[in-house]
Amino acid sequence: MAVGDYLIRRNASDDTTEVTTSVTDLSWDTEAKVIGTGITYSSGEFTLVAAGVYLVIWNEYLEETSKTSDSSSREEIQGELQLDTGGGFNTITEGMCQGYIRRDSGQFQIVIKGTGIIRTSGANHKIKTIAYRTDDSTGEVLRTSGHGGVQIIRIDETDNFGRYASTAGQELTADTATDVVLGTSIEQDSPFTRTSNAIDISTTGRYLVSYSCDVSMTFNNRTEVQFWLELGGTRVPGSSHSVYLRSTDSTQDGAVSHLTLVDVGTANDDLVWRVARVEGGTVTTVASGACIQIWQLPSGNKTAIMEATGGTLYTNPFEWDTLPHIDTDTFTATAGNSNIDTDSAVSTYLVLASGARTTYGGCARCTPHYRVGGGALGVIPYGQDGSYFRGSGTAGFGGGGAACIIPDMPSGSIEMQNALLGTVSDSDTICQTGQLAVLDLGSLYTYVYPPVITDVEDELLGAAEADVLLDGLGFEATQGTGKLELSDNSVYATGTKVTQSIDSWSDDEIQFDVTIGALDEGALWLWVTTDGAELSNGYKVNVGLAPHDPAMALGADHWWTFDNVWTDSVAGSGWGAVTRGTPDFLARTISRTTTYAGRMNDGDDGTETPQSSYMNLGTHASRNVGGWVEVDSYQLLPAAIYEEGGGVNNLYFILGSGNILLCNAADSNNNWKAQTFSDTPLIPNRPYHILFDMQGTGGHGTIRMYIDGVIQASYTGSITSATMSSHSGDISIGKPGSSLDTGGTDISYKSVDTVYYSNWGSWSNTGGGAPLTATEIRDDLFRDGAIAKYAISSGTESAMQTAIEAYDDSTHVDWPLTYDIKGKTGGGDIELTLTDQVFPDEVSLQVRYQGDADLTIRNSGTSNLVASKVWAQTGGTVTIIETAQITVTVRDLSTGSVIQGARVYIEADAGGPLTEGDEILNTTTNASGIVTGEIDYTSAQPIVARVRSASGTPYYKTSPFVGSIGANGFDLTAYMLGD
Amino acid sequence: MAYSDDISDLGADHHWKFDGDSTDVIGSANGTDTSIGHTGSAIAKDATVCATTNATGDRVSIPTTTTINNSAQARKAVAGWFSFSAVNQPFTRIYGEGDNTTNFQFCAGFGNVVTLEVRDGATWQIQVYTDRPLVVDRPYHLCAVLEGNAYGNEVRFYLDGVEQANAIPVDREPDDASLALRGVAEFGDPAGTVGLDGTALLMVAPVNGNYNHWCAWGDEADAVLTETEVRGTLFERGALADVTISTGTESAMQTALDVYADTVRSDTPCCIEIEAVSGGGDFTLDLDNITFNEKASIHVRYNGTADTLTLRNINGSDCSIVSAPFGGSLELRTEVTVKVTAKDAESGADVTGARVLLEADTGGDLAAGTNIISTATDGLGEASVTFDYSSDQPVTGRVRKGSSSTFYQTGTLGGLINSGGYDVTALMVKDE
Repeated sequence: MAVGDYLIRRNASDDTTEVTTSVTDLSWDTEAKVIGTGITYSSGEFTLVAAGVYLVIWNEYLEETSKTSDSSSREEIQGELQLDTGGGFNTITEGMCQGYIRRDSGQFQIVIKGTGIIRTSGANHKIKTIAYRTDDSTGEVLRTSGHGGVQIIRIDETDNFGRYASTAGQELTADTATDVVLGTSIEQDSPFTRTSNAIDISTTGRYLVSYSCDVSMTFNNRTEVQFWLELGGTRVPGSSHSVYLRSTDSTQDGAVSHLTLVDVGTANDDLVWRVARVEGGTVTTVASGACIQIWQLPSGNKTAIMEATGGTLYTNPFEWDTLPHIDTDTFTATAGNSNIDTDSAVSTYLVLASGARTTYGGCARCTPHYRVGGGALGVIPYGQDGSYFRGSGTAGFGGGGAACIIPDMPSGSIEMQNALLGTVSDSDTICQTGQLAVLDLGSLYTYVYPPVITDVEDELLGAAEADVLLDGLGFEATQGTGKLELSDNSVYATGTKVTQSIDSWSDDEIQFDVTIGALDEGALWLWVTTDGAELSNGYKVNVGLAPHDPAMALGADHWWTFDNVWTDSVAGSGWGAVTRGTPDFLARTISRTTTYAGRMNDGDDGTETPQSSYMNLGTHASRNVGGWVEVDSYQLLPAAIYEEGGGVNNLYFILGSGNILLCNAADSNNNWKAQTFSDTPLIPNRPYHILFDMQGTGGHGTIRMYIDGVIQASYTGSITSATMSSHSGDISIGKPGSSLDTGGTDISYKSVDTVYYSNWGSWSNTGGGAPLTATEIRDDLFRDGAIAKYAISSGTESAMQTAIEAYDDSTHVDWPLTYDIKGKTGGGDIELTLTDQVFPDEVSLQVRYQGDADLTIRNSGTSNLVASKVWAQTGGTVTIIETAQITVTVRDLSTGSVIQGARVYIEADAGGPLTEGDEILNTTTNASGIVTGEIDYTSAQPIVARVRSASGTPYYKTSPFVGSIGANGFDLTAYMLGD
Repeated sequence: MAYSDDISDLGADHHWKFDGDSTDVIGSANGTDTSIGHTGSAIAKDATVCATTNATGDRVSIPTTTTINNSAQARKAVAGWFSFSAVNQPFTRIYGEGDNTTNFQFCAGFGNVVTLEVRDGATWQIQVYTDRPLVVDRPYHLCAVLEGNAYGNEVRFYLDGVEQANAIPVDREPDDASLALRGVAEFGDPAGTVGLDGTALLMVAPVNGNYNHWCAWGDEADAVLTETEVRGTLFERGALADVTISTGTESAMQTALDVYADTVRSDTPCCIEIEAVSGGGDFTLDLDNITFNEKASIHVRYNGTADTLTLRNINGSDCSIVSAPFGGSLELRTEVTVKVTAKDAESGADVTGARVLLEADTGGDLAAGTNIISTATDGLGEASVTFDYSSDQPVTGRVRKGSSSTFYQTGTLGGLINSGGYDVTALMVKDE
């Protein structure tokens, strides 16, 4: 047991526990990280082994699942910590929280989050988490797996603390800020001195502050109570947290917990906990026991604090305006950016991320989703919070914040990656105060880290690449029984692993040769196991071929792989917010790096994703939306594939008239309607990449469409405004959520039946990704994502030639891509010949070369490979050699009859690409008196030739002839004179 | 004979010329207009104006009629001229009988792609689509023919007389005796519920949609229109031409045609129509470097009722779709080069002054023995002429040089003159 011990447990699998009006003990099924023995867990209870001080952070993500009834209902979920000091569990104010669900806003989810600094007086005190509801709505609220967690860290009890609480209920009056009245000093070390409600802090430095309280009100009205801290009379950025109450459906009970890092720059400044009630309940009360805890971070602490004075609360990532404090020996950051970067090779961090308004405004219902994340971290699932607010009735402050411990983090970026719960956003949701604060816990406590892989020299490794350097620390000085493995899973125990060949091994660097074995190319994970059997983090690398994942590189606002998940991999959430019929997935690959596709298997199938300010809720000068689709039949009734909006403003794809694809853009506010159409029908059972390109008058001012990366010719109507208006309503795939304006008539479309979806994205100019360039659409979205009809695997050149010859003398089928051709085994240039392989015009890409050397392909006979439909994906080059056909017919000069068996000899003359004297053809005529041959053609090749027949009667004299082989070949009839 | 008479001769039961009104000039199914315009320019021959739907609610209502809608029909045909003046964004119905469950209708959408849907309740349904969207302000002739399984068992949809093949089901077979009776016929905005694939779909009148010479055949033998009747009569005889070369002397007509030399002709039903020569008789005209749009349905139409017009593509003209639907004949030829090059078989040197004789062999348009080349090779060893190509022409010939040294033995020539011409190198052996 030691200070710095910590425990993180998560809810990894519980999707079924319902939170009702009865108190529910929450259990946490999965241990995410445990350091030391100071905190243990069993059956929902955390044991604080030694008496001391503990920082507790907990949260849970809850979802109202009965979405089809009582659409206006409100739900209010209370969360609490209970402490058992030996006589049973009792609720404590620390860690109290509340979440509010308002279904009229399409908000079905909420995150509750509690914090507190607790001092225990004896050994083996226990903590548990509970939740219950105080509303009387009929909706069902369930826990959601994969999000929530409990984090407890033991703090050195000899550090300096100030802990205070109110001793009586405090009634709030309308719209007037006031102090939270502190009636008792529970603990007060130097440098703290409380005078009434003001806490004097005598020493500069950083202080971690947690406050919690219980709030209730009467009288039915929209009510918001916001709490914050003031230091020296000035609001502390990032210290604000609000709670929303409304007695309709008995939602009149609230609670808040908030954790913030305060930088005390002036000695003896007073810290005051403030509160204001906005509109609402006539009697609003902060319950007795409201508490605030302050921890003076001990000497040597390393922190960075960024603050906000602007921005929109639900942006991802959120960008910070100022950098008031940073320990530059540990962190780097730049004002105006979103991130604080950690410099240590590996350490453990406490991260706080929050935002709020400081003046209330007329915002729509809005539920920002505060999330800690960044870089390689993604979103930390247990580092989330959510807070509902509504400007109508002037309850428009808002405010919330996430907090979490990040263990074993290699150097990297930390951000606040906010999102939105529900469908309502508002550009007025301005962040006027916020904070991203990072405390390096490694600067306070000594942690022993497992080996950590921090870098691999190439992002893309060859499947047999040699001498690859892997950097990190803690590998130990010698390999001994240590090993480096390549795995196909991000979870070590789950993956199939291949041991790598080690060239050299040191504590911070390993050189190895890649061995892919039976693993498939693509995203794989490297794992180091030390001689002492310590296992490293899994480090993701791309081997052989990078997966098709262009979302980040192209700045997508939203990206849905549909690979057996509806999730939006950029913004979280995803399809499934509303479901019509039974949309599902099918094991079917229609774009690269996926094994499943989303499916609408009935005209009534459809699903919606949360509305987005980057899609239908914002005004945009340019938008792109598209992805891979495949249909299984001709659509006899016009039917929908994708839509945003409805009967006034909209953007959508529909299919009809023999599978012509139509993209419609309508903006009745700006009085324009435009359509674009595919040049050809979408053939059933053939994947296509479709994408629309909407640009206002600052761009091309039309709606255009790309299919397989090719812009379609036909469009009508102009976009006559600089931006397209917002078009709230819904965003659907399959059957739309509402009727769609189609040239002035509203049509209630069904879904295309059947249609498959894979790797779709959405871009906007406000998100920075739109308009995509034609090259990005063609190369990054279509060419990189296409699946090949045939794969020519790595092998010897002759083996690869044999493989591709299997398709000689054939006409290829209509498919997005005919061939994937890998690099030659062992690397190096390769030359392949296609003989009489005819690619129809409909094939969008004929060859995708996945080697890094030169590939030369010869078009022999009628083969018609063209350079415009060949793409080198991984750094190699592709050269096409055209051939010219040679035909010589030999006839008797006197009779004109054909001569069989005459020898025709042709060699290169000077003046062409071949060396003079090179033999081009040397063979005898067939029964038709004909010899044929072929030459690689780059430019005209002069020839000298002769024909003779002296081996059998009748004999003929030798006849010489000359000529030139052109692009169309060489065709000559030679007449021979009898000898 | 006027185009209206052509329609009457084909046995149509109803004919709405839309030449100023919506009267049925053959039957009695006169149309009732709802906001129909009758002042637009005609889009087919034998009319001075067309009917126009210039708002989504415009329609011509046809009374219920046995030979149109009010009976089960084993055979049926509907045809007419139509043009859009814009790409219509809403779904439109050009002409239709019935509702969303049982119908016979021409609909449009998706950039002016026309769908013919013939549907008999839940029993059978056939959709046929045009292979292209209809170009704005370009008249098209639409024609649909239904034959139940006691007859041809097929639904056919012709665009400018060309049968359309994009269909679901692909075989376009009703496999049923007839199409059940259905609601009244309407041009433009449907008054009741209509749809596709059995499902209601809001459709409106084309804006602007222009109509001329729509006609209908009831369940009778005449309804089984042949391809020749659809293409040769209904389309080719009714198509308006972009350019008319009026009757005159042959030279005057050539002069008139030369005005269009070095031009590109657009996508129209008929690019150029040529009337008979003054005084009658066969005549020849050259198309001088005129490029025709590949989607134009007729490149050149000869309007003469007798005699033969020989039309020559020269200097790169690419006329390939011709028509003579009024009784005359049109022969299309394309100028190609016929060339023989004489070379010394030993040295490969050009042979100057060699006599080349090339004549028609049997199997072509020309009579065997018709002289094609009879001349001596020039300083490049070449002898060439231009040739009016219409079909592959077998040739035979010889080449020799016996009049001055160096002398060469006679060599033989053979082969074909095809659309690319004729280009042969003759290797000559010295005459020792």
